[in-house]
Amino acid sequence: MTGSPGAAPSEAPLDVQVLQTAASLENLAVASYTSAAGMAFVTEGSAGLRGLIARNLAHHTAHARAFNQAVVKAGGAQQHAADARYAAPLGRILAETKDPSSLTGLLNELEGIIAQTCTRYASLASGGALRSMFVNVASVEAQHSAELLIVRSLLGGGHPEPGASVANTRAIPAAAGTAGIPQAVYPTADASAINEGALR
Amino acid sequence: MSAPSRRAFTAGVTGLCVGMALDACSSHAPPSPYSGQLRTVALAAALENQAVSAYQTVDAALRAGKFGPAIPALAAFVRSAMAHHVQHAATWNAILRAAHKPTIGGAPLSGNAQLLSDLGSASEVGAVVSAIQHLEIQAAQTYTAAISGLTGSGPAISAAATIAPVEAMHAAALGYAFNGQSAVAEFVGTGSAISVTALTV
Repeated sequence: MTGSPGAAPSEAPLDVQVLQTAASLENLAVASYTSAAGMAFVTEGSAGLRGLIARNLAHHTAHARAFNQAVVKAGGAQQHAADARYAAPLGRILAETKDPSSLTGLLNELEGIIAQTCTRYASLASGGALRSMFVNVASVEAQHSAELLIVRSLLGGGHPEPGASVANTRAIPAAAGTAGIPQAVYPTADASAINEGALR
Repeated sequence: MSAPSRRAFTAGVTGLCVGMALDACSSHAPPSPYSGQLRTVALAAALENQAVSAYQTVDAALRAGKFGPAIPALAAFVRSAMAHHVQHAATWNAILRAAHKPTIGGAPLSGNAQLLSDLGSASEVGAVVSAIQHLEIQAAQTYTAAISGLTGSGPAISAAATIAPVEAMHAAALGYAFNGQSAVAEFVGTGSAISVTALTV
């Protein structure tokens, strides 16, 4: 079978493209959290932050695996590379990150990009199971954001670790109570293009 | 009238009464105005109204000092989350209105009265936080499950996709800031999702 001369290469089906892009973003998160876990101020700092980083890293590893399993079912090839749009600039910023506040801010941005992308793709995917999968993962990344935002809001204020006791809960400033729930409707403006991480 | 005839007459009247009673019963339960995807939308609106009522109960308890000295972060969280749920209810009801269906004004859900009673009688802040955290995760799981059954590219899919992560954030923030432990799992799951059969209209 031959294509017509000069014809553009055929694009992969939509489901394959969005799943490969989602996998590439999860791979980016795995690489970023792996770098974060090795930073001196993390290894020698708060056990709470260290625990969040390790836990989120495990979640993103699982999400990458789930998207790659789904892409095979959809007839495509697995995507094991990190999203090319963000990988280099994010790596440079991470290398210059020297404190927990900057790190949690950066990781929150990354979580937001993935969550917004999955939220957007939930409306684009063709099957019910895929839509549910995208909402499921978007919700977990949004939860990562919520916790990172709370941690960041409490950094440097001399506040106790949240939730350790009712007394600690009373001591948390009001602003920390709403830090983790910044919006009523989850945005999609920062969602990645559907073919951003698609294999070519 | 012979004896058999009287028995037949009596049996006939009894049957007529039973039939009338069944008719009377069914007239108390008119068919639901919601079917198909709109039944899912109505369920979502009811869940959001239920969340608003739950937060109103907690807000009143906090203002009354029921849990002791002030908890400023929880009070701020409750007011903010309550406003989110008001907005979510309006979103779901707008979809019903556009489909020329009645909007959901309360929480017509089996178990709603028990939930509000439990919240109203709770004396420990930890129990209240756990209860509303459960409501939030239930809502996130319900939308995660429901979106698989929604078809087309209509507003219901967009609503489920953009509201589920917000409910999930509410649940995470409650667990992390107020309950002493992170409740975030690898996947949100659907095990606690509410079925449309819980809707009583």
